[in-house]
Amino acid sequence: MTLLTFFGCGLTAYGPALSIFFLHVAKDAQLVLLMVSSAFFWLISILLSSIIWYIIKPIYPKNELTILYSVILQEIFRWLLFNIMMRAEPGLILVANNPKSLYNRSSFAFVCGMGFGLMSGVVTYFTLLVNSIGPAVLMCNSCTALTVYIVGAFTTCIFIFLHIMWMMISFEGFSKNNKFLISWVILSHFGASYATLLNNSSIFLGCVYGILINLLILGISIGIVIWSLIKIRRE
Amino acid sequence: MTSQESSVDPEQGVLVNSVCANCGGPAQYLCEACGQAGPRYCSATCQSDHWEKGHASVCASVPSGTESEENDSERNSRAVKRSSSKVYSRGNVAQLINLKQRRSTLTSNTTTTLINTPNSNDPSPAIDPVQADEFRFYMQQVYRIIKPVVLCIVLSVLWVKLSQAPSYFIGSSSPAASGATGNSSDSSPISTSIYAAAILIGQIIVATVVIVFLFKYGFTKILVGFFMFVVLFPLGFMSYILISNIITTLSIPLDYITLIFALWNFSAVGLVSVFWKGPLLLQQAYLTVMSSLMAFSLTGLSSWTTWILLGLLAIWDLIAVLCPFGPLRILVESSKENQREIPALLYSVNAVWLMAAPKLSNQIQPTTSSTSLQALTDSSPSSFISSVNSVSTKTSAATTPSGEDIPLSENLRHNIYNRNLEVGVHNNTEVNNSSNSLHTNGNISENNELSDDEEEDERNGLKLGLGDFVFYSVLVAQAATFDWITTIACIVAVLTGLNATIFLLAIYRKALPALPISIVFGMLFYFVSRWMLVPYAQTLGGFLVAV
Repeated sequence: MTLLTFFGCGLTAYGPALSIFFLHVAKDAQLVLLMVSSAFFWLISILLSSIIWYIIKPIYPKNELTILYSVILQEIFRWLLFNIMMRAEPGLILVANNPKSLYNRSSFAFVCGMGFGLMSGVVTYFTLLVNSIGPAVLMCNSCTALTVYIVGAFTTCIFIFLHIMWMMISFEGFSKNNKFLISWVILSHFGASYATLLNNSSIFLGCVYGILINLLILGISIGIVIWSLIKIRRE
Repeated sequence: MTSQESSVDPEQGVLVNSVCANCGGPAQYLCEACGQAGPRYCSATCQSDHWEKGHASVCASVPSGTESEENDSERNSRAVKRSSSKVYSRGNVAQLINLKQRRSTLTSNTTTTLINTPNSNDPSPAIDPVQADEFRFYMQQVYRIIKPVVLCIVLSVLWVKLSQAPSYFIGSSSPAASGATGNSSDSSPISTSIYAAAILIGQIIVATVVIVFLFKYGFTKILVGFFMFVVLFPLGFMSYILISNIITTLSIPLDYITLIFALWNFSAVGLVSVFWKGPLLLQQAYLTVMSSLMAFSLTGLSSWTTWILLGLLAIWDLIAVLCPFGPLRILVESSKENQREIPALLYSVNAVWLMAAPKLSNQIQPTTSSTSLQALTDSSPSSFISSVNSVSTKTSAATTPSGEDIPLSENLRHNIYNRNLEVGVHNNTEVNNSSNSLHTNGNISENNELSDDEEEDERNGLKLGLGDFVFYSVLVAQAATFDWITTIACIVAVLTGLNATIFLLAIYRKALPALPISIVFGMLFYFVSRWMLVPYAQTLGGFLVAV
């Protein structure tokens, strides 16, 4: 459609995350640098996925498989990022604004997740968003009343926050060696990604189901994060 | 670090009349951990004495050993940096960072004087506090540098998108179309590209050598003239091309008289503010715009030429900065010989680029004229980051006068230098004297007065060449001619490369070329994302799949 669609969808998708970034993250040099590094990590993982995709595309072009190895690679890189962060953590805490805070690790995890999320939001949605400037409209397959642009915007917005929550949960899980939290991250990541397959499927109202499932996962993840933050405080 | 200082400084101002808990003299410092409720000290020496006499047992910071240590060390290290400024700044004059030296002085001083007390009491110092202090310092520097870099990159991407994708904002574009434009520029045979790139890099090398030569033998006026030309070129000619592109693209009616009038004013103001005087913000804005225009002018090359050129530049950068006989080394040597001339440049450029406070800019004025040159210098290849510590402090007052006699221009190309260097050089003796008795009352009060400046100084420690700005932007702008995802991947890669370089800088403590890591990352990401990530993302995005 036009610039209106562009800005509407763009702000829907990135607005919430960007406002958090500018209001809270941008003030702190350390957090911004962490965010850039984690975005770099995510980018490496997605580049590897795309290389795999490029190689096996002629053989098996299904999206289900693509999601499978993309998610696995992301989780591997999340784990690598965590290990690197743990090695650097004493230094990071020492130079943090408030070295005594209990929540330093949580805030590091938050910005790392934000790097993952924003990068993934940009890579998966930005091309579509730029196309929305064009004169034509693409309607969503499953919800014919909606354009793909707005459906993609909702999905992207939710996914950015999902990435933030996953990162916080998995940092908690890795550091406490909590199998439950780790498996929740991996399983819900698969669940959320596969749920987005509904968006453009032929199922009636599929995109509504997809977005609802994502919202549900996001809600549960937020609950887990709040619970673990309270637990940190009690300890 | 700076934020903490600023919070403490006002308190110090209030406390000028208090009494030192150790010697009874007038005191201006207080224990950072205890704050207002704690004892006052006239100097760090008294504080450490008092620490041994019993403050260690009552200090508010004792339960958290790390922090008190850190705070103390921070203050101490500032003091020590001051004392070591001579060594430091000399080494630095031309991009050599003598952090190592500084650090050894730092640690030795720290251990001998103040800090030893907290250290000995603290059982578990996981990380050297001095090092933490330094890392914090670097972190602030990186952040300060990243902002103008990002701005410059974004501007160049904007120019490219505005002028190269005519249909884009009108609305008939498609990924295929943008892909096609990207491909069409590839069509020139590789041999031609190599030839073109070789010519360009040859020009850059020749320009660098000539600049070094002129600098070494003191032909400053020629250099100033050259740099004026270099400033004028992007401001006038490139913005003319850019504007005519944009108005054609967007079908904006505009007559030549208005255009030329506006351009004339634009470039004249730019020239004046860059070479003579102007608000700091204006200078920074002009330099950023200039770098982005310069980058834009290089996007006219075919994409293979650009990639080959960037690759060669990265190699040249390595040679120039790291080789014993690289032009930069020669520059360093000659700058050591005539110490007085270079610092002027450094300082002002630094101010211009790194967003120093307005106060700083005033001080800069006398020397500004030559400085700006650097900005443009993208014509000369050098790019590196060097770090300086900003130490100078009290000397800053003395600095201003010293600026005048400096003959401008020798330019050290794209480097941004720390004004402190200058200060350090000029005031060596003074600093030395004071360093012997680090914390006399007189010095301290002076320090308090100048604390703002000092803070600014500390912010300005890291220097990034303007050439780096330009070539980062060239890389990203080249990606921007192709696709958004590639563009963003390249931005992240370049920024990460910059971070990595500065991280290495913090570890190795010597001047490093800033281009190679970023360019390698950028090129790698460009090609992988161009051939694989973009189709991958388009496939997934088309199905609205998020991963």
